[in-house]
Amino acid sequence: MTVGNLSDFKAGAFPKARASRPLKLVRLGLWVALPWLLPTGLLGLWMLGLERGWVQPYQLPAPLTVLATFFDLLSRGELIRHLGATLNRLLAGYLLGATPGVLLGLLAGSSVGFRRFLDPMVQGLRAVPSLAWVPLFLLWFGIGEQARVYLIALGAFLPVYLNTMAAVGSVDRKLIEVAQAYDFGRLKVLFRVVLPGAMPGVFTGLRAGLSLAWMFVVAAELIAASNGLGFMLVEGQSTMRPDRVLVSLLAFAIFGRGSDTLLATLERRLLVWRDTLATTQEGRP
Amino acid sequence: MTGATIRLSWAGVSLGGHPVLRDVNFEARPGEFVVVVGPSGVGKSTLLRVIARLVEPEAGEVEVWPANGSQQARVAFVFQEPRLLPWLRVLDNVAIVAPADSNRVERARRALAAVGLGGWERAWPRQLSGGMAQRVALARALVTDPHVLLLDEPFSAVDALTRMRLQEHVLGLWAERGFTAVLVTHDVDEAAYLADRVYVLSGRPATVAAEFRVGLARPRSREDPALGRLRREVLAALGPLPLMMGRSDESST
Repeated sequence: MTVGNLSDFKAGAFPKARASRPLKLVRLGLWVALPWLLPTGLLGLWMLGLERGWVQPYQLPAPLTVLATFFDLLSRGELIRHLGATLNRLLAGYLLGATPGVLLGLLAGSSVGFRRFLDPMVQGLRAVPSLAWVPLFLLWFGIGEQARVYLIALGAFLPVYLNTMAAVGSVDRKLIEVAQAYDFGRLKVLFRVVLPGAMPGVFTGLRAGLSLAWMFVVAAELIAASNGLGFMLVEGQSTMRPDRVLVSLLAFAIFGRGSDTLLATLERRLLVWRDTLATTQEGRP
Repeated sequence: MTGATIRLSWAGVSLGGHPVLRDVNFEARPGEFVVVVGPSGVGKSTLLRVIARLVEPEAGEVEVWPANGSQQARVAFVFQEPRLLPWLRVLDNVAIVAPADSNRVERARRALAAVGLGGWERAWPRQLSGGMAQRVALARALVTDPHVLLLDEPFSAVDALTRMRLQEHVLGLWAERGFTAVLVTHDVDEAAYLADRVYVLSGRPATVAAEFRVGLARPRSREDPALGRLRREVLAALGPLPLMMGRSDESST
């Protein structure tokens, strides 16, 4: 290949290299604006729809009305109260489900006997769609906080348990052999080799569990609650207040995403050792 | 630190129901550098695992006793791949196997310096080249102050130049510390260059087909014609196996 051909090839691969300066700026602007295009377009359509009377405000209130409701609920402390209730039971249920999920997953993953003992039962329970437990839980624990928290715990438990067990099974056997060659005790193998090796999978489970916990907190509050963001949804529906429903949805979105980001940050911090695309940008010491 | 005596008498091993080693008689004296050669998959690694007590023999005896009268021989293992724990920094990878006392970190530091990796303590394993990672593995073995160092084709995954450097490194540390070294390889040149004694394993199940004592002085030259003769003898003892692959040079596999 001659030098001329090579440069042609390069220009073909990177067409931007030939673009003039102003054109480049336009491209850059478009690139930055691209993710905003759809949301702002929908927002415009929303306002236009109300203007033209395609939708009625009692079905879909104006964006500014939603914003006003948001600040109203905020200033009266109502939003905080509902949000607090939701976060409280979410956290309690999540901890109650994820903790045994990790521990039992570790045990089932590292002991064939324990897996044979526990796993068939869990797989059996898993066959029931989790929300189908709701009536039974209400019968057992009454329409109270207990039933809601247990339901969330059940939802969080399964993905954490399953992912942890699978992750332990995928720990490199060769590293276990190193531990044996250097006479590590059982606990040292578990905590210095198996657990760290399984950590990426454990985090996958923790994040999946968290997203299910959010789903179940909504389910629990839709069915039986007198506070919480889910209750706000039902209440907004029954009192014909779509603005309150939208504020609640917004809060779900923000805090759901926020909690996942929190876990993702923790994951990145704890797993800096990983040799993946995401971590290789870190320089040499 | 002195080495240890290793003796296998009529040792036999089966893995998963298949006999791998049979009637193996093997000896290494304190401070000796013993190399075991044989075609891939013949059971060389299994022999090392028997010495390291990772695999129990079903027949015969395995004895390892330190020359300095210690109760139990410390045996360190360097594998074909570095096998560092990726979630520990270089220093912790070495320190984790060190005897648990207040000096363990300092010991680990010194072991890393001994393999020329001072200054890399805080690095993650993924940031190391293959040769450097293997040197960390070597430091990890040395930090236990072993009577016996077992090396399972430790230089097979690196380039030729790095391999030679690592060989010199191991030889230097061995001369300095006097441990008994048992190295497994399918590289006949490597065997001839490093060994005081060469065992050739062959057959299925494998047994010792030949034993060579190498009386050459150290440091040796890689060009020494005596090494070439030894190499031919070892190849002859390995038998016609490599020819089945359509090649006669076992060292290039």
